[in-house]
Amino acid sequence: MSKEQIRQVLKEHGKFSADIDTIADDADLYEAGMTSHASVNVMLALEDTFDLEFPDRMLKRSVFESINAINAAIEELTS
Amino acid sequence: MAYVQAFPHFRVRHRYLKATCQEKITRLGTDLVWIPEIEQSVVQFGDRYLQRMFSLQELQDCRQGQQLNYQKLAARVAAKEATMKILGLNKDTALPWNSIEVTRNANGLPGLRLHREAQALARTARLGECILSLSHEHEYAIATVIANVNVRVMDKTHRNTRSSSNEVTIIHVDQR
Repeated sequence: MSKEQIRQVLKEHGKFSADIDTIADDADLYEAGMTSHASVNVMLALEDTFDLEFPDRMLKRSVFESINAINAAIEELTS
Repeated sequence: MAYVQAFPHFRVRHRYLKATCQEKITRLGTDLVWIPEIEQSVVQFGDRYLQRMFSLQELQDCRQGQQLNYQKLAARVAAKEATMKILGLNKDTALPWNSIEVTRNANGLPGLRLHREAQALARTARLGECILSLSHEHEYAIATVIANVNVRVMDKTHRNTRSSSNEVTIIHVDQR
């Protein structure tokens, strides 16, 4: 369920040129066209969706580089 | 030693140097931002977006009365991105956007003030003074940052020195 929610957030805020549904869970989102600034919007939208806050230590590229990585970060913050 | 004895016509001289020579390397970062994208983020996420991205002083500098000037905000976002490019980040480097602050001096010239994580990265990268230029036109804002990096290097003029036709000098360089 959460990966579907992540995909929805990416679809609305990731500013991808490709259809997000064609991007694999482990694909590099930056390679797929997500900019650093778009990742800020993604982060804020994820905070709204999952009712959490990303701490400063997680504001790095590797946390937002794939759907799997985002999912792992959310699991860590909600556990 | 046996090697030296095999060439008795050459005299081997050893010199010990400390590599204290410095060479200036310049790093340049630039970034282009589409201004409506910044406006969309502010409209969508409001203060949460502004607080994550900017310092209070930056927000003051970008206000005209009660209104935010999105061109100025976008130029600052570009400056932060351009600065990230010269800090030598890797994908595991955590760097909050508001740890890079764009300042204005008394003459209105833009500058950079680095805080916390950004300051530590600049120190590690041996960055010297950063020079910043901002511009915006219609829907785009651009920023360029230039910084010197102080690097200790071996003085190349002392490499493979041959003092005379029958003397070879071996240079031992201590780079600590």
